[in-house]
Amino acid sequence: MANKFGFGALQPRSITVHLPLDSLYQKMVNAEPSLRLCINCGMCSSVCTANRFEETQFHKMVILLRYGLQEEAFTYARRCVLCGNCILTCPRNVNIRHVMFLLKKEIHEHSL
Amino acid sequence: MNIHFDPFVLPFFFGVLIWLFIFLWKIVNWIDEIPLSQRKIIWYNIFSSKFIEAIKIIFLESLIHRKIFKKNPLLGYMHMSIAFGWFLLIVFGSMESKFGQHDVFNMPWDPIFFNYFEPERSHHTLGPFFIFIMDFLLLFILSGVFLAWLKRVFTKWFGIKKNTKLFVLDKIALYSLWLIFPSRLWVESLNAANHNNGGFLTQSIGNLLAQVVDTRMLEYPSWWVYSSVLFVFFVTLPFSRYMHIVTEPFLILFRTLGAVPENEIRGYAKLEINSCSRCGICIDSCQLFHDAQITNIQGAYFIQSVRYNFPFSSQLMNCLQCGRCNIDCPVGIDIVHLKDVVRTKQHEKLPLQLSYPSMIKSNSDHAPHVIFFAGCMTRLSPSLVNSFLWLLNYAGITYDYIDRDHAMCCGRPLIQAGLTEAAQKLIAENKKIFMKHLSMVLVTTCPICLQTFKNDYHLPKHVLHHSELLYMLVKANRLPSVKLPIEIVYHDSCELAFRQHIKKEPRIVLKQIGHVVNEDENQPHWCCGGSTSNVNITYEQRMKVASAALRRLNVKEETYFSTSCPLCKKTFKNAGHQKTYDIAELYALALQQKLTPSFKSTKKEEKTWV
Amino acid sequence: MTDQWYDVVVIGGGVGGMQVAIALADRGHRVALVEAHADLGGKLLGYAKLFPSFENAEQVVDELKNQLDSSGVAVFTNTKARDITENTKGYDVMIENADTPFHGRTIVLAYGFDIFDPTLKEEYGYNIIRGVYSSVDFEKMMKEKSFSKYFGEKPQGFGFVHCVGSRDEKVKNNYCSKVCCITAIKQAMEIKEHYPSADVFCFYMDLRLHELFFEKLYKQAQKEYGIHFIRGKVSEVANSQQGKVAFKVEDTLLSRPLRIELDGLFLMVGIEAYKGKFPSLKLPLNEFDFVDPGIETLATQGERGIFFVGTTKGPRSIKETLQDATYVSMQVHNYLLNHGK
Repeated sequence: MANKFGFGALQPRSITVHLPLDSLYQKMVNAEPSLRLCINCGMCSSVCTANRFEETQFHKMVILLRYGLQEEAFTYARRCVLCGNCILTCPRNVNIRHVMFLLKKEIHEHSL
Repeated sequence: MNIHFDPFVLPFFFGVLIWLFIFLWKIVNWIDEIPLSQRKIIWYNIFSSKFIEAIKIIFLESLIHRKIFKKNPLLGYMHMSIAFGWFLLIVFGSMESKFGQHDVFNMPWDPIFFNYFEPERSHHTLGPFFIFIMDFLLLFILSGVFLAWLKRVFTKWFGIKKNTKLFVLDKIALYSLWLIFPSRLWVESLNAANHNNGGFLTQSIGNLLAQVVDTRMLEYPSWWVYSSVLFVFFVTLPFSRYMHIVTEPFLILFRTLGAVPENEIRGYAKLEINSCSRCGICIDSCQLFHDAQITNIQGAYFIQSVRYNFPFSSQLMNCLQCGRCNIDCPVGIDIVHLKDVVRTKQHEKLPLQLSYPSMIKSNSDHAPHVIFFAGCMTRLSPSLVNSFLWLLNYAGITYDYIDRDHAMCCGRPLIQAGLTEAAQKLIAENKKIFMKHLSMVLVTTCPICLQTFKNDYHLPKHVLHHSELLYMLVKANRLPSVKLPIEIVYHDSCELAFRQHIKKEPRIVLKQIGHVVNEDENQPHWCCGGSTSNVNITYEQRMKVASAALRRLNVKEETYFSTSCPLCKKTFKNAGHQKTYDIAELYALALQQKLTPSFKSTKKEEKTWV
Repeated sequence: MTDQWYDVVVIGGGVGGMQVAIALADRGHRVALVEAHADLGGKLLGYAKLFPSFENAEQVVDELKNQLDSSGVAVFTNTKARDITENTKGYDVMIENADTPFHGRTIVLAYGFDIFDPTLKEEYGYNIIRGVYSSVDFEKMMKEKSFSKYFGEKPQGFGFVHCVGSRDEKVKNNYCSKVCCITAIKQAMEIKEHYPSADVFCFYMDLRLHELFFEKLYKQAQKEYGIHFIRGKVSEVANSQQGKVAFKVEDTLLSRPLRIELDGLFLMVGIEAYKGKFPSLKLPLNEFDFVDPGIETLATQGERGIFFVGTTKGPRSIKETLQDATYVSMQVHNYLLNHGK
């Protein structure tokens, strides 16, 4: 396929961060305070069962949520199988499974 | 005709009517909700010996409270004296009123207010006997009520740590129950003082009272008080924890006659929910209560929330589902199953959207002895898998390690959280892989996977835990005994011991290696805290549960601690006990002669710097 | 000899212990240095070259030993302190397998640190998977020049895993060991020098390079040595068919998991508090079991005449330990002056 060049109906790539930070992120932090401790080391993604097949990275999802990029975050949450390998190895004791579960509920409640 | 009546009986009478009406309406509805097929079985069994058995159990549990006695004698006596005592009081009271009646018709309130209507008790048939027995039973009950007051303050004497927190309806019912018998004592003593018809208790108190108060004036209003207290109790009963008094016998009856729990909160489940007396024994069995200071999620509170429709989502998901409350419940309510049902009802439609490449490799047409599935947790413990495969090689068992490279989760954590639709998707795909392999035996090192393979996969294959396979190999003399002079403490994992009842095989395998300290299979199991059933708990709280479990199992720093589940193993290691090994690891190390009494796996002597 | 009274008894003949003994002897005090092993030098004896200058560790030890010889410190090797008790004038140091204790008016504890045991992180496969070693093992291989014994002549790749046993709640070491990141870079450069055609990777969580010249070393590692730095954590270590170390690592910056096979994987094990204890001595320990003597200023005179040097108080580099030892020697000196000499 030839590479396209020039004008098209594309969006600029930068993410505009609106303050105060996204309300869904705040909701998740209130329900699971350990979410704040994530240092994006990537151990969760390294052991994640779903991540072996489709991109499912909790540590990346935290960042996406923070900037309000909910759609991408939800794709990851949909893929989680709740196996729990992440909580067994997280060096900061972040309660990852709980957040994934809450997001699944969020998706379901808003029929997304 | 000499019908006994006085306006003061009305509160009592109306109380009883209201109670009876509400109760009958509810019980008929619940029985109607039980599926027809089950009702047929129950009806058929009424005419069998099971009916006698049901009566026996009702007597032993609802009246004598035998299970509570086993927990703590004082607690058992307290429950028994009030329940059994009141039962006998009604029985003997009815007999007394029958004997003392000059009429065929008995009013429903006669046995309660007999002393008012027929004060000349000693003249009735067997009068003195009844005078004695009624006083004796009243004293019996009052001793229980006294203990109930005492329990509010000196809870530890009764073998439990903390009283159940009660909400307002329970409190009203409780206080009125506490008032019933003292007010009965009060009014009957006044009656005895006025008519000289009391027994050893009521007469003596009556005589004392006569010296300080005007008994003639006080008696009639006191009957009103007694009747009103009964009214309050009966009216709040169907909405409080005391509903268990009348529901519990029905639950026991139906269960013994063949009713089984369903996947809905109706029928049998409603009987269970209303049979919970919130006695608090489940709270006392709960490790989260003792070790993690989580005090609002236990069975009694959960059932209360379901019954009154209180919001309870954190209570629901903050449970290890270890089953200890199930085992200890004196009424035999299947709390774990109720939580499963509610979790499914709430979460069955939560989404799972994952595509993964088909892992079905083209299989050769030979069938090795077993298919081996390690499971996702085992991936974090490579030595567990290596040891087990080494043992299989030693015993000459051929295997197909199907998730060596890539595999999907078995699906059980989704089922535990209630996401049954999502789980079924995974299961359908995984089953295809299993069915492609020709071996008829599937063995796994993880009890969590084991539970779901057996319950939810419906595979036409024999599913085994690796300890069961090792046990069979030991029995077939394909794995030798080494019997080293070491002490091993074995940990019963919740999934293996509570769900699958596999307790004997791991112990026997361990006995081939050394001395198993906790041989008794019937001891209660202690959850490690790692459970995937609990979504809310923090990791620090899990570690508290694990450390406490190590203490309770008397595991010292030098003890070899053997687990049978990779999740338990990782959890206990994270909690700090370094000498934690799976059964397979210990056995392999023993056979490789790397396990000696002074074996310290963690220190390599050449690591010193000089 | 041991019945005499010393002004200072230094427990531990490592870098910190030697330095503090030398400094105090130079000021005219009577110092005894007690070392459990046969040789002085402590952990430094296991190192080959030191960051950031790549000087030989041996040189540092020899330099200190020379100064020690000419300082008049009474050195006792093969002498392990078993317990320390207080007496009226100071302290008694009980020695294992010896009857007479040492007497000192002050004690300086320089017993050093323990190394984190990597078998506790089973997912890295130390002692289970062939080809997995620790940073400690690496130094030994450097000293013995025995790389070819382990990796042959043409290995294709090596990896260094940072933060093993540090910054990890799961092993309850919720702190940074400070020196492992720069050590990893140093070791990566060293093995690249040995095997120029091999690819060398560092798998890190964060790069903590706290001193002035460390960033320069990092840049040199990238530019001149071609070391690859991958931000992510390693899991699922196993042996491949050819006997290499096969594992999975999440490249967090690329957002994808990688599968790599390397000839050797080195685990950067962290610094832990020394686990041996003196039963009669109550030490002020913090939550990580390191000594916490309180706010240290020159005016503080040390609790009861007991002083602590170097890694007894937490992770430190050698340079920092030497500085700390000099500083502590000032504290001891002041104490001795003020308590009637």
